[in-house]
Amino acid sequence: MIKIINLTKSFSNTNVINGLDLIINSGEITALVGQNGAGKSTLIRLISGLLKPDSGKIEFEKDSSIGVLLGGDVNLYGSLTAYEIIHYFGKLYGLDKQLIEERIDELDNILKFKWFINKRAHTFSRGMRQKIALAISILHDPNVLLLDEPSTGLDLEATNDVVDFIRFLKTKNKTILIATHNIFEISDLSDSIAFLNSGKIVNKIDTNEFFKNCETDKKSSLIVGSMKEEQ
Amino acid sequence: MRIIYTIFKKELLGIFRDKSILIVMLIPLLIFPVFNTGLKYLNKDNQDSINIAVTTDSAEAYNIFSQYIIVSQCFRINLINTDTPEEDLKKGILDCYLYINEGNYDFIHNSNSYNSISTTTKLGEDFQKYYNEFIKEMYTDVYQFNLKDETGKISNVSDSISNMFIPIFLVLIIFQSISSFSNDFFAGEKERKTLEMLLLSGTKKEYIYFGKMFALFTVSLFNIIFSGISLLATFAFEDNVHDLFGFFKNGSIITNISIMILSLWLLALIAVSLSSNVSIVSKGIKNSQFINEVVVVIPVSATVLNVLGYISAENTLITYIPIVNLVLCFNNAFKGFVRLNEVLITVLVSIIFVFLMGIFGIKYMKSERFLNSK
Repeated sequence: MIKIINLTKSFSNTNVINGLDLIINSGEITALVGQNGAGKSTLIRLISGLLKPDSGKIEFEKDSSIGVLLGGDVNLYGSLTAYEIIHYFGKLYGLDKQLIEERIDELDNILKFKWFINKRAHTFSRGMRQKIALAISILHDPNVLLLDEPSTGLDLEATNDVVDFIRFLKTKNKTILIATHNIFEISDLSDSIAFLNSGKIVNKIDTNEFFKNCETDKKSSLIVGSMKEEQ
Repeated sequence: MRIIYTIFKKELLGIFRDKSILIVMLIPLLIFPVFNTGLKYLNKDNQDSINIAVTTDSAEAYNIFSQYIIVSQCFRINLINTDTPEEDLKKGILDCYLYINEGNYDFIHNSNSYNSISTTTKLGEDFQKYYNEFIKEMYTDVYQFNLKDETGKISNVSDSISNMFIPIFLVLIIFQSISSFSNDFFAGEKERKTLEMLLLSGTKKEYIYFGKMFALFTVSLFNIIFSGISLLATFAFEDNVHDLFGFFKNGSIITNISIMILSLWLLALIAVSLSSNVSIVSKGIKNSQFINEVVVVIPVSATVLNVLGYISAENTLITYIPIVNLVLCFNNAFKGFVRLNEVLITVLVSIIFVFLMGIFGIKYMKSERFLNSK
């Protein structure tokens, strides 16, 4: 479980996260939904430890390890091959060579990156880079995974691979927070949806309940409508 | 240590795979031999030996001067016996002649002769000094006609230009290449967001710093070794060995080249620390590049001022400024003067500087400001 209590973060006197409270249950997938500038990426960075909060607390369960995929266009070390990059991060995670090889085989079943694993990263498309970044984020088998817009900018095939990847993680009982624009992409995967607006969680609701209410609840219909428009 | 080694290895692999970086590193291998050959070609007319004659009514004076000119083997001078020096000068048989009469002398050279432009003029100046100091009173006082080493030396013009420009090139190349590496290592990674991936792997910031710095230190060492090889190829096998490679003459263990390489490497370490810290503090690679370009002006200016004679190791407190001190030390070594106290100060100052820069760099990386941008 991740427990976020009264979290605040500001940049140059602009409050980006503004007294945010959120509980992410263990083994669940929580979708973090919000418009551009709502503070999704900042929240992911705060939970990952890349940024320090101005105030508030983020509590993890004991022995939690975190894997993170940051948003935006992923860059890799262009002069290295995907194989070398994965091994590099594997070593930084403290894994031995044999274990890294095993993880590569396991992750390739879902992400299908072995066909370009010996090519240098500067030749990769965005989708290829995203696959390697996803592989790196889960290489050390973390129990908490933070994914910031994992399918943004990807083509349909790559997006499907990413969705398959999240489905695979769900079977492994990981605690996952996915920041996304596209609520429909993960509608059958996420357990709950947290709506973020102006640095605050305005609503957290069970995914099934949310979509059931969509048909009757005018407010939810509006949200879904705006999501569709954004797509 | 394992993590530091992993980062170190990855950074070196990245550098040696990058063709543009390799070209920057290999530039010193080519530039100095090409530069020196070019200068020699331009000054080839000055490389001829000098034909000189001594004419005097006094047999004693003739013996003294002719003898000393002949035994001065550090330059190529042909002593020509002639009764008609003036005509021979016009015909080009002689480059110059010394006419001594009753304690006075005239040094006559043909201004149309190629050699007259530089070498014979220097010969004349040296002779004048010698004359004023030792033999104005009487010829018989036996003093060596101490011509300066460089007088009449083959390619002395190109050597003096090399002595001026090669240190500037060396400092420029080392600072430029190192700052481009360190720009990429920190600011570049920050901009591409690969540094965030690195931090998310749980790697401690000091390990990242050390791993990258050791890689930069190693690359700078390669850079300097290439420069050393290049200088060796340029100067060591000439007829007149450059002072830098004096050990070929005297077999000394503490050589100018080793001091020069040491001071140059220390200079590179300072460059690494300085430009890395600029890169750490900068928001992006362009910002970092700009500041590092400005920083390069310091050592290059110090070198220029030194070679032009405006600052020297002996006379000012400026020598305690780390970069200036190193420039002077390396430049003096290049010119053939090695002072042990200067070297010790340089080593000490460099170590302190690199240490302080390291503390600052790691502290900044650990601070909120390092990644505190949205």
